[in-house]
Amino acid sequence: MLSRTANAIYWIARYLERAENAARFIDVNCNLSLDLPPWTPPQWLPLVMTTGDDRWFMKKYKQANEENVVSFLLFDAEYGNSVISCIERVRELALTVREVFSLEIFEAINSFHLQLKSARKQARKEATDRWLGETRRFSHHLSGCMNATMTHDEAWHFFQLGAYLERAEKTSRIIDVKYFYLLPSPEYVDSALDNLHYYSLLNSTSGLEMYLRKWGLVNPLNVIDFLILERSFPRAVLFCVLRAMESLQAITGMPGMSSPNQAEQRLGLIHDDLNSAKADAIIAKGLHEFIDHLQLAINDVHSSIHGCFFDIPLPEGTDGTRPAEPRDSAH
Amino acid sequence: MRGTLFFQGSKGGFPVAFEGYQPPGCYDEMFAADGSPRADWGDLHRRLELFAREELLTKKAAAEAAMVRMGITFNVYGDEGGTEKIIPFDIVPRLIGASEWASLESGLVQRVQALNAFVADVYGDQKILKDRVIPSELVLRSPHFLKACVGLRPPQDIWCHISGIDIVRDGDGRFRVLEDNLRCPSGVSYVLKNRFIMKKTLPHVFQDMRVVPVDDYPVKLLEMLAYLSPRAERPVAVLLTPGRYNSAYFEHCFLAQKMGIGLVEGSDLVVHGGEVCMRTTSGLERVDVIYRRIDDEFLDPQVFRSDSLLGVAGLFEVYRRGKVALVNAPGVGVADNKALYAYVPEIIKYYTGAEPILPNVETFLARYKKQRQHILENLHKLVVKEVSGSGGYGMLIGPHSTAGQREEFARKIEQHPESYIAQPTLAISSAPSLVDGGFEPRHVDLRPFVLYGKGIYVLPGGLTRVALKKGSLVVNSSQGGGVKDTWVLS
Repeated sequence: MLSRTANAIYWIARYLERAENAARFIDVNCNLSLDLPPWTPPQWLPLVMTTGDDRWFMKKYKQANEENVVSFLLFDAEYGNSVISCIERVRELALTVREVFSLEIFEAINSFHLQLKSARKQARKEATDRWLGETRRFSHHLSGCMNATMTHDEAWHFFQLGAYLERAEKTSRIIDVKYFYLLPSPEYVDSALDNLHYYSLLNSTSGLEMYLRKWGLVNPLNVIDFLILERSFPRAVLFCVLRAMESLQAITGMPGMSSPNQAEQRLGLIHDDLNSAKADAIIAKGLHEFIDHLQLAINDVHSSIHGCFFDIPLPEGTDGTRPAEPRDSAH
Repeated sequence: MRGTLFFQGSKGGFPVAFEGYQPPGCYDEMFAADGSPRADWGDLHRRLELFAREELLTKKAAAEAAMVRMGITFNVYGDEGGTEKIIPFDIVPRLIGASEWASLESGLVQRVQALNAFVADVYGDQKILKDRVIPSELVLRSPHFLKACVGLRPPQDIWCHISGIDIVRDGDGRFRVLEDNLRCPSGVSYVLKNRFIMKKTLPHVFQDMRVVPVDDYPVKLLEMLAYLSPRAERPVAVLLTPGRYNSAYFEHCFLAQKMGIGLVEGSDLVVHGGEVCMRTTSGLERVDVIYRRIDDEFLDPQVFRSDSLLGVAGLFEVYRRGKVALVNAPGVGVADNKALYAYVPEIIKYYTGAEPILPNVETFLARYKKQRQHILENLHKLVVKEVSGSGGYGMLIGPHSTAGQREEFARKIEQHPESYIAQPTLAISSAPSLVDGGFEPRHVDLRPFVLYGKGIYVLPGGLTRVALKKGSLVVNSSQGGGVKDTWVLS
């Protein structure tokens, strides 16, 4: 398929996943802040840290309170990774590759974008909750449409690849930030507050019930195991890496492709690391270092995918203009 | 006597009668001069009268909301506010009876055949110029005459693959050609979308009317593209678009999708090893046929405009060598400017040996002294058009103009006589449109689409555009026009 088209679909998936994650993070934090004891100030800064764009935030908003953080993540059109900006990009990109999608998919994107845009004009606190839910529903609706109405061909696999890599990265980021910001000292461990935070960490990934079903009681080791190393929970890092690998292999297995390529090799290394990792060893060696390493590795996969599929060097003596490509706005 | 049946619509309220419906001194598509519905329209007239006005307005709103949701929008040039708009949709269809359509169709086939022969001739032996049927300067000095195409023979000798011929009815109800669009005629996606929406909007009315389907247009278009391929194996066709901000971008996406071909931009294509290739995820892939929706001058910066970012460097050379087909062929614009238009009846006679089935509208060319004088003396009665203008821009409608506008045009005509033509203001026909108050007559035109491949195919009906502003004669969407579904009855 056309490189430009593949690239656009890959980014549609990433922005969609990014919007969904932002909505989840806000939602969980709103919930958590209501449950905190009165002497504990609500923790809004960690949410900003999760994005990696805290400097940008502080410059514009100065203070990390609920109102600022929610408007930053949900409706701030100037911030490239807010929900509304992500949806705007999804729609812009969908317009450039509109011929690839079924009508249902395009209609879903177009309608949600129009709704969100008009909601922004009348954004009030009560509306926040509604739009967080709508964003998640939209993301699920669109993934459903993709699965049910589109051929599971190359385009579909690029969508999966983008979505799962983005999700793997976001899950690792939220573990990192929550774990280190909320639990700076060991004596908090096992306190009531501590449990609350683990609940919120699991909730951020919609994984609390799934976790409880598997492990019963909440303890840090098992939470790390569940969110990073679980093979069957759809927001766990390893699960995402496995799905991304399947899609990448499906793509490189298509006629005319050369395999194995650098993207496959790099993603394979991440998989091998996770596959042999144990939660206690991760914590002993340092969770933050582990996640840092993981995120860098995922970034490397992104750039390999770019070089292997979206921007293949032209043969000698061929003269072509370089297509404009969507790239990450932040980080 | 117009039969007004006082049935109530299913949602109650008053029925929308045609009482007070008064065509503004022109031929009306639905009603004969004595006020009775024409034979082909009788059924529709009866059925429309059964609806309550509110019910119809609700249906209209639902149809337009569906268009917004589906993103059936167009971009307005120079309008910063809302760049994406839907074309207002009129849910009253325009009907064309079977026999009337048959004669229109044969006229269109004849015209396109002749225009194609003409283009082939002027880039070949130029017999028609040597025989002095047409003034040579009109052709050779036209900005759309491409020297690069002289001596070139496109695949299957077809130049005018896709034509959109604008038709109006004059005061006597006779169909006349108003304009030939041979370069990148747009609007066909609206024909298909309008039909899709009409089937949902008035399903029962539609069901009983035996309307000829239009849905196979993309298949016919794809067959035509494949017919032009320089390779025997399954050809790779693409649609080349200027991109997302082009006013017809929706149509480009729609047609590419309906044909299952790739939608590419100039930067997706490169010339490699004497072939045009697209940049795919598995490297370069050869392209055989390009349905291009960018103008000639932007096609190839090496041959035409060097500042073009939309085209592909080296494309024209590949085309000249017959390794890729371009649709429509570069250079066809020489046959669709408004000055040449005046000579199309001669062109038809010259190449087909027959009288034109479809007449032209009388046209005066300001480049000739006598005709210019006539134009200047009758500005208040005439419609003045720029020879290379389109989209309803740069026009003077004499009877609706101010003295100041007429002076301005007189000045322009004196300065650049070769750039202007004039035609009598036609009382173009009206058809009922649904407006807030009920049914009112509005002026309409018709753009049928003609495909020239192995044979010549005319899409039954075409795009009916309607001037929704009361009294307006301008149907262009950029000037407040809307569209209707066109039903050719079987």
